[in-house]
Amino acid sequence: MRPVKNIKIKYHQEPSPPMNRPQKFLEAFAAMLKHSHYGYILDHFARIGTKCARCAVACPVHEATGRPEDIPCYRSELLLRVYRRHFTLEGRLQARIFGAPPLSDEDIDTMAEAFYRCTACRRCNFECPMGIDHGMITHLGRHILSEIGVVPKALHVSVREQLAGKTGNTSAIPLPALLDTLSFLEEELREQFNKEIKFPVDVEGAEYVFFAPVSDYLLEPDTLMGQAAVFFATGDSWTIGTGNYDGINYGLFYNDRFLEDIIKRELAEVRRLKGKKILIGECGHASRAAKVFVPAYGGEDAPPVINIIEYTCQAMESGKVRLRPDVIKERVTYHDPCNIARSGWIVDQPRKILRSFIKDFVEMEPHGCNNYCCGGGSGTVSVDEIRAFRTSIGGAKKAEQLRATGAQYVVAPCANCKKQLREVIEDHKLDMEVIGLHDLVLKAIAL
Amino acid sequence: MDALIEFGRGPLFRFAVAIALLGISRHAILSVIGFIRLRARVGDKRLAYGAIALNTLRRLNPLKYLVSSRWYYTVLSVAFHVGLILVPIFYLGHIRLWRSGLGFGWPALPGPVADVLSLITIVSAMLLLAARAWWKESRAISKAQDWLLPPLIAIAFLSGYLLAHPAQNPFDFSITMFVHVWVGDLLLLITPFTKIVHCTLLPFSQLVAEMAWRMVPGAGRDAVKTLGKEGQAI
Ligand code: SF4
Repeated sequence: MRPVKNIKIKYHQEPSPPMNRPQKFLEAFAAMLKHSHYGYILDHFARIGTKCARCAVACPVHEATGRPEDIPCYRSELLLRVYRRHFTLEGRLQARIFGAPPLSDEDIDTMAEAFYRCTACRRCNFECPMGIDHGMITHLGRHILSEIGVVPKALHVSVREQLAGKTGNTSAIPLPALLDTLSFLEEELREQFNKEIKFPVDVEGAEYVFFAPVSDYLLEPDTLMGQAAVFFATGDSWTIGTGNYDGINYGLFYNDRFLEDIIKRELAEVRRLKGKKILIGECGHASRAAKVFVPAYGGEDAPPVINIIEYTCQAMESGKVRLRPDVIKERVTYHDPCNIARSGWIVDQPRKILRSFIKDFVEMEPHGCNNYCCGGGSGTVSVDEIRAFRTSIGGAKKAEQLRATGAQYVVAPCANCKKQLREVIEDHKLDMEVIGLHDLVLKAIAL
Repeated sequence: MDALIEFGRGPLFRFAVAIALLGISRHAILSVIGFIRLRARVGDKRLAYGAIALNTLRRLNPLKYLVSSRWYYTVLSVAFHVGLILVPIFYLGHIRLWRSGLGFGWPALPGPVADVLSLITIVSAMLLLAARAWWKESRAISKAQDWLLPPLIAIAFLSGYLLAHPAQNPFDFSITMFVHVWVGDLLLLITPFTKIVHCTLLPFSQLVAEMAWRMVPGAGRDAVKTLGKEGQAI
């Protein structure tokens, strides 16, 4: 790939009132090391790096720009250096003897840019022989920055609305509007299938409490109708809770305390409804956040978490859902959202579903666990100010992959990937359409 | 010179070995203790130890890294490490020294094998250094120790090889021995404080990576309390 001209990104809010940022940064870092698990991890990562630069070949951002600053190890070193210099005995001694400069204001700016250029896709993780998780370092770097007020406005505003706003969700959809949308969708389904397919609301004791990425209620009616159609076919009990209907968890992208609060709100809703399982809709980060952090924050009796693709795949394999193979004639490809694919959790299931009814299914190379990020991962997709960066740098590799497939549809089972890929397609002038997995299921399901 | 060599082979060597062993043991022990303590604090304590062990072995398998555009780096790195690990421990001359100090020894590598491994380590160390200088990515992230360690290791091995083959040695024997002993001691002394420590930390890497996302419940909020920022609006 030819290097793309770099675009500098500057989009975060500054601390208000102004403060001594380096000092505050170090205080926040120290507080996190004291209370969290990060000290143990950083201590290992700070000592083990051999600076082999293998990670450089894995990172789509570096591949696009070719800038040394975009090498995962280079980026991680920004934070590891602060850790060594200020929080280890050797580092403090070395600084005394050799006079290493302390953390500066400029360092903070460098980190702020670096940690939001990284999409925390964790692809580089596979390439590091030492096992350094650069995505985690990005995550921690963002957390500390956010504690001194350096955070993208888009993420901040969404989380504030979700945790402290009137609507309690990131798209600020009031409950009456949600209920209207649901009855509209039920009407649509009635017209399409001539059947009473419901979006159950506040059903106590349901097997599945459903959390879609809330923006789906505004933007992805077909995805939602496809999911409702699957439940109609299986007959399982499911419900949407009126107390909390948003699966999005932007805490995962910048601050652990919000990550925890959002998970606890999800758990509270499931407990209020006496539901048995948490079911997350088509959304990568919402699924990973729930899968990984419900057990972390939910105590011993935390409910199991499953993703809608897992559910539909099981339903199809058990014969409860039938998909007609003659409906979709176009060429289809599948984009793996990093947050559900990197760990290998959801890689085979969507392919089983798609291959069962799509004749012309093609893969991007590489795909699955080793996929390339859409370029809008870790919440950067919601930062509109950096669209040019996201599509021409972060998404450059993805655009190349998409073009090579010659597909008409790219299936992206994730609200964030959908938005980003639509912008990538538009900006790279590709001739294809982004679609949800359940949008295709909706077209093909036999009821 | 002889006195310096004797000092290097005697007290300094023993001191260097003690520092290296204590240093790397400290890292290994802290890795285990740190893990046990952390596991008690994290919310999600389920750990698939078998999978972690398997993953550790998988990550150590160099073949895994051959399917990458940097395959030649992998080849060089493996070539470098084989001699680096085997020769200092299994070279006959070294075992004799150990035997005289410890009272026991172990089987040695055949001389020609040790020679070939040493030469491979020397050449690959220099090629790794050249690769570091050549690739702008490696250059950009390199620190002083990344530049200094490969030549130091190459010098230790080259001087050792020349000592084993006096007929090929263009230098004075004592100087060669001095360089070999003192560079060897220096490498042992810096082991716990440089990236060489990955020799002991690497087996823990997958365990650490597994813990990387194991949050401690309430950590974020407790940190905010420590910072005196409780109750602040989001
Ligand atoms: S996590 Fe992804 S974007 Fe970030 S450094 Fe690694 S490969 Fe690059």
